[in-house]
Amino acid sequence: MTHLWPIAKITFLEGLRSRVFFGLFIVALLLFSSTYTLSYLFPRDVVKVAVDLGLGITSLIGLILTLFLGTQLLAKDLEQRTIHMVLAKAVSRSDYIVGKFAGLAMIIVCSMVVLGGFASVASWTVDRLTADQYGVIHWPIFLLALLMMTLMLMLLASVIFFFSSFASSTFLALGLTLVIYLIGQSVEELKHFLETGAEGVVISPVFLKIVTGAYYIFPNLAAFNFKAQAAHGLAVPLADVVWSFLYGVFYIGVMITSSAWIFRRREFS
Amino acid sequence: MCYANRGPLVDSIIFDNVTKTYSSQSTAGRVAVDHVSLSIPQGEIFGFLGPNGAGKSTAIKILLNLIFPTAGHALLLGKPVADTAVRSRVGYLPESPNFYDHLTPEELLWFGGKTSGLGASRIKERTDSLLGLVDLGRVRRQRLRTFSKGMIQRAGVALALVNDPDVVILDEPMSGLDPLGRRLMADIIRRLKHDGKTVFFSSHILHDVEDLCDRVGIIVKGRLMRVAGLADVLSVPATGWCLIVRATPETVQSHLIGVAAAYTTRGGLTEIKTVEKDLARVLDRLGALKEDLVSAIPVRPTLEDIFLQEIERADGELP
Amino acid sequence: MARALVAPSVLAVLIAGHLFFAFQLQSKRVDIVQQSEELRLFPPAAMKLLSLEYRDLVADLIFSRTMSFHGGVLKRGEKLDAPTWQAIYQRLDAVSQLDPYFVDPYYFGQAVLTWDAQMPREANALLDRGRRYRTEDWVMPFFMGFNAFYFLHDKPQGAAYLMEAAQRPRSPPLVGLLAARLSSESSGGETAIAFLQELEAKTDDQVAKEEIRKRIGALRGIWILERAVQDYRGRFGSAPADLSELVKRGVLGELPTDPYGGVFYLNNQGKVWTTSDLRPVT
Repeated sequence: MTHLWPIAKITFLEGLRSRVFFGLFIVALLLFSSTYTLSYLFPRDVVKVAVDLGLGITSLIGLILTLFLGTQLLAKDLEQRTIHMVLAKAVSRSDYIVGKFAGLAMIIVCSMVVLGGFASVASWTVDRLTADQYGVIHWPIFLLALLMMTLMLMLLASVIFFFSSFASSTFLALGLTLVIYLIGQSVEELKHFLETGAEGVVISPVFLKIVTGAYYIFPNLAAFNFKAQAAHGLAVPLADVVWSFLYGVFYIGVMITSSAWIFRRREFS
Repeated sequence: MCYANRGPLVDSIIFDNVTKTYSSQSTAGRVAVDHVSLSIPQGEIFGFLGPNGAGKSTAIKILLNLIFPTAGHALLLGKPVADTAVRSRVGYLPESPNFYDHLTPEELLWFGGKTSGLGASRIKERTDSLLGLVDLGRVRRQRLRTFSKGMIQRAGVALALVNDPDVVILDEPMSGLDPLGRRLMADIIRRLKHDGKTVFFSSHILHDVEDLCDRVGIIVKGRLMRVAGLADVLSVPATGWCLIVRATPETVQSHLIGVAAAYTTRGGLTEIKTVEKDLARVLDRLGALKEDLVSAIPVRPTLEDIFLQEIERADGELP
Repeated sequence: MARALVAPSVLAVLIAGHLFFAFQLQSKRVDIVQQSEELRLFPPAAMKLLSLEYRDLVADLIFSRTMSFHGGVLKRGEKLDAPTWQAIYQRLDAVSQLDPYFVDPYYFGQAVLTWDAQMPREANALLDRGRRYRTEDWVMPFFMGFNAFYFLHDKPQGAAYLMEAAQRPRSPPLVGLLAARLSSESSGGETAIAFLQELEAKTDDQVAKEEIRKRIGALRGIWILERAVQDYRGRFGSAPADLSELVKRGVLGELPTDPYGGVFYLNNQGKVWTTSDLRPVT
């Protein structure tokens, strides 16, 4: 277990020192500075738009960061054979996977703290400069949205790890994870739509079964999206948060355990 | 080949009939390691010699559990190679190593030390002494990204030794090093032997193996063709002599009429090659020229000869 | 010397060319850019799927473009035809489906769909979503009540909406009074009275409470009289000529007084009203 920390730490340093990391923050900074101007295009719901922009930019940059760093940290290790140096030491394959994931998770958390900080400042500025009739930010829910967003990104990171453990190239792992992201964001909506039916549209029961199956296999990423609640200051029942949190933790667990299992059978020439 | 248990001291490395076959698209799978059995006692420097693609790296990677054998098993310090903990007493330098280039030598050694279970102060101790040994002290806080190939190799050596391992495994350790670097590496290997460590290294450079090893194993096309102590290999009786005389070939020839010998000229000196039994006669014939005798060296089969011999034998026996 | 000038000159020519083409492109593409202002829309369900987790931002974007389209039209002094108004309504509806709590589409819809587009039914359909989701917002049902009353000439419905509005937090007291007034002008004076009693209980301000009590008094008077008129009809076969008949014929003990200072009377339609018109007589 103590072997996890050295791996986590050097992985964390790798992410921190990566040029992708730095570059994306510059981009984020530029995007956040647009929050003020863009919010004012709206007549009344100014604060809602400011929060939408803040959390939306955070989410997008966080996503790009997770996808790139995630593939770089594991798949690159395999391509460049830097993994030999690690595994030749008294480190088991599972230690490696779990330790690396911990390092990646730390990077994601740090990134979200910084991005979330920027988003908070941007939204707070708009909140401060408008009268309360244009909306007020409810910070606890704003924070909740950021927290769950972070968990979602960690889940995606675990998916990248899973694919990297057997995919033959970085691009393949990246592409597959991207597809999972797209499915994960739409599966809940699609399932709901098919279940409640639409005017004049015939739903094939087979299709419904497929989508229901997909719902159980693919991660339902919409469960981690509390941006709307943060934008409007809607109360979120604690139960919802707990369910989503546990769902995320278990999915990550499945992904990482599977990755470790696959890795134990893998050879490195 | 079978191994013998040598008393209470556990052998550092044991290969027990290890085979590695890669299944491929062609009908015949490629055999990378072919029924290799070998045991190396503690404290020995063993040279694993073979042409490129002979299976040296594959065999080494099996030892480090990076590759799994198709048949047979290998042991490190008496434990199966799949045992993770035993690697805390092993040091490994891969061929053309790739390290995380965002790390500094200090961080690299911290990582190596920590994963081997060393405490912080011990790591500091080892880092200082090793970086001094490989002459990377001045750049200890620079990223590996900025290092030359030779510097990376030296950093790799430091990493391999950070946990003061009992067994050191080196895959082509001299590759990419300049003469100074090679001298350093050779010194390190000798020092390790002096400290009672086992060193197992692979190479295709004969001179290094000749220079350093106690025993040598020649591997060709995955098969271990021959294992012998170097002293034994090289202390075969001389098959002939090589004499160098400061005289022109014509002068020498005139003295040695009737004696079979080969002559070559090298810048004012004449080299005479003759068989062992003719030595006394040649010396006698040279007579007055004896004053101009520069050197007399016995000719023995070199490691090179033996190596080439085994390669030929393998080509004959194996597909 | 000449060779050194070649590269910079070529670059200069290329830059000049670029500027020329950029200028040309600008004017040539005006039509295309204007066309993109037109309101192409996917079905809302598809949009929800396509916008992934950025639903709220997509709603903001579509609303913003709808607003600027409308603004552009106004600026050019053009008039919009019915299909375009329909498209605008559909866009606003889509926006509110993506983010039902977003308040701007409802206000905008109320502003343009009722007066300009003359689509009060559609306005109320839109506002209904706002009413259902923005449960703490009194303005949504208030707009709906107003539209029902003013544009759709449906007083009972208007009254019902206004009542709902009055029960929502921070609604101005006027709304409640308006609701009661509307509902008393239609059948259902009892509802109005009950409602106002409820309102009076929830009001802390003494002046407002007094005002509400007055109205309750007036409405109760009207209600009592109307019941009495019905009674009279039942007994004597026709409506009384005058309210005093009710007392004379023994249907009522005495006539109730109007707290506003007016006098109750029977109008041509046979309904009870008061000279004060439920406003303080000065």
